Amino acid sequence: MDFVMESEDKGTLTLKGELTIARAKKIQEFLVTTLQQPMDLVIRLSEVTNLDIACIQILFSVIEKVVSTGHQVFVEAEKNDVVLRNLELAGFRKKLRC
Amino acid sequence: MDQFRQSFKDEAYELLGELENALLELENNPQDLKLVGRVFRAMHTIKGSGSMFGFDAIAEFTHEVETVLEIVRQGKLAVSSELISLVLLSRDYILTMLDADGSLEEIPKGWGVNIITNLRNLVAPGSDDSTHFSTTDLDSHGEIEVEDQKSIKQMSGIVKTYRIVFRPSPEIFRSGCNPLHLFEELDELGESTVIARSEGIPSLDEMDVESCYTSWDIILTTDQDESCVRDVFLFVEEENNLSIDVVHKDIGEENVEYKRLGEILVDKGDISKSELQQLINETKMIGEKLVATGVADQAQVDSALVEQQHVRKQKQARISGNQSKASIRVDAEKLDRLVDLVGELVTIQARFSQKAKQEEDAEFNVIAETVEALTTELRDATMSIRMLPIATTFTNFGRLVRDLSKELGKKIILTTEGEETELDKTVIERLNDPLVHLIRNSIDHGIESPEIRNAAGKPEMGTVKLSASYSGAEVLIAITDDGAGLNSEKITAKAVENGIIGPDAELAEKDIFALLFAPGFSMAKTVTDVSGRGVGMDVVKKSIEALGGSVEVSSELTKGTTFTLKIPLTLAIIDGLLVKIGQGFYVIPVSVINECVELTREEADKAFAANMMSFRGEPLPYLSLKAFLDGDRQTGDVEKVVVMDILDTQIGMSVDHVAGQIQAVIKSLGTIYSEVTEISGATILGDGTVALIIDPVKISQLAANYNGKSPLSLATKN
Repeated sequence: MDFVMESEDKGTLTLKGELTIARAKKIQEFLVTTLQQPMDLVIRLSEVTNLDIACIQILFSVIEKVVSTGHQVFVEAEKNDVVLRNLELAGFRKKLRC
Repeated sequence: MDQFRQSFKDEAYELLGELENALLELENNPQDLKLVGRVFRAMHTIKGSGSMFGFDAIAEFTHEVETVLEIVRQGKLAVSSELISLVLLSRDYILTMLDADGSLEEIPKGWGVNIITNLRNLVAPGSDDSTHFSTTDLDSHGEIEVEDQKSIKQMSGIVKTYRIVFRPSPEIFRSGCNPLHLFEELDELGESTVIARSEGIPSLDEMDVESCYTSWDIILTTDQDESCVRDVFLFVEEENNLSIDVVHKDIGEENVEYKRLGEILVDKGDISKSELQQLINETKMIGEKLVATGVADQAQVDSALVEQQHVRKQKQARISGNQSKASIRVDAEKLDRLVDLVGELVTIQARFSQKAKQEEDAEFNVIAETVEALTTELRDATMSIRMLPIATTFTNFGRLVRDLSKELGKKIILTTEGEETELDKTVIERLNDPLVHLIRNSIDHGIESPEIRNAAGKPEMGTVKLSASYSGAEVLIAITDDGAGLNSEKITAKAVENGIIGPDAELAEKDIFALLFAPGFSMAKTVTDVSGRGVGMDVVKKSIEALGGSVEVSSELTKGTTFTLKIPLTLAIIDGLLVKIGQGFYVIPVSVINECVELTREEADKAFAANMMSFRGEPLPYLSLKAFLDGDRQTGDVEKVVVMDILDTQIGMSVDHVAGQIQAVIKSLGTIYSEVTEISGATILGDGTVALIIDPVKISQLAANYNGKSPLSLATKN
């Protein structure tokens, strides 16, 4: 699995595979399109295999955007040691609320 | 100064052990950066401390090896089997220099030079990093003259907390740098807390995803010096904004509070002193006031709070760690002396207790009982100090298995179990050689070549497993391989060929396997460096028996072989049952005793005639110890029988009189009695009488060939 983005239903966003700078542009475009309407959001990262700072910045920006409209956002990354470790290392674990 | 040099040596020996273990783990996990970090840190510490205590040759050699490891750490040189072999050789070289107290005179010339040359060759092909080596000259001893001694960094030994402010250029991603790797490296140096300053991150649609908008404040607590911390940023420092400051030194002042929030912000230059003073006079929390007045933003306050919490947490962890893990290093000779003294105390206490009983003075008896209880407690406490986990021995064998399997072209992994099992220090030291022999044999004769294993449908990788577990007052150590197993027909044929048994001998499988321990027996067709000379297995047996233990073999053809060693926990003091046989006193180890029973004269006569007694309606092998040791039988109406568990078999041994339980301080019988195997030592009783400690295993084995004469009396006559 290289990289997959899914918006299963309204308010749920699932990202899978490599979330790195090589895919950052595509991820940004997808998210800008998907998040046109203000809504509560669940971001699922459980099947992400790598996450770098370029993509962490994008996720942070998504959260800021959702929160600024008065909605709530939840990031799911339970049991994904790679994601949690990289967020911890980058100092973003609390900022991404997981 | 000698004391400090000795401390360095002790520490260096430990670090070399750690280095070897980390290298062996790294060979199996070459991508694991944490293991590279462990190897690097061990080498770095040896270098720094070596230089500090005048072991210049060690420091200089280690510096060269460390240079290569640094290149590996940076991901510019892959971990290969060749690299591991060379660093292991470096470890051996450093160990030899340490043994020689830093002198190079006794060390083969050119050894160190060869290692360094080969390490350089690993880096040189197609790598610019060969230029990172300092221009050094190697003399014929392998001594290295380092031009730039300043490059030898030293560990301060003091735990410091650094505040690292890293404001990278927006272009940092485009230069190929991943800041996560830097933070990972910092984390390997100690305990780090990373605070991301995200206030510069733009909205999603305005973001250039290839730019870095984040900056970081990192709080790192480590015992490494600043140059080591700065090294992490070696390749990014020029283009990016970096500052490293020591914000706290742990110098043992446990009650000194870390800075207040306002002080941290002033220290960082986020606010001025006057702004702080003005706000202190207000009643709100300082953080709230700072944000409310716009003197500092929330991110700055959060960062300062995290720093404060980090230092307080590290301080607390260090204090509680110091309290719970306080330990001191004690010279082993001092410990041995303590055990000897406790042994003497136990002996004199027994005499004291006996005297108290004779005096029939109630108060005297109470004192004697208290002394006895305290002596027992002191004995147990002292013996427990000498107990070491067998892990210290097991981990040494990783290298042996690696080197031998490479030499023989086999693929073998060593697994261990029960490393926490503790044995007396003396026992552990004396176990090393027998275990080396057995592991060598498992590798050479047990595990097949990868081709043969493949053809047999086995995994290419063979396994040698070392396990340890408690069994009463003994420890069982098993060496198991999943190799070809023992072929009893071939062993029998070889034993006949070597004249060890006659051609018509009919032996049970267990006895056939026991032939492996016969002097001069070898199954090897050719003599190798590893094994095959027929010396070793009989030495193993003798060594284990000298420890008061035994060795057994079990095997299944094509499945593998297990050697099981049964070893006493300690060699110094045992709990024993004091018995009288004829005119002499003997001690039977309590660990083998199940119970004591009595036989009538009639029952005893029957038992003696049949070598079997009736025990709760069941037949039980019986031996008259008096007849065995003195050649005479017991007399009297009643015979005392001590029922014991020996090699998984119950046996009853009769004695004249059971005197009671004692703590026996074991004394060696000396070389003159070395052939008297059924007596494992002697002890001195309270009244000064000598009692012999019998070895029930040996006696039961010798009893099989018992001819009515006492082997002991025969031996002493010779």
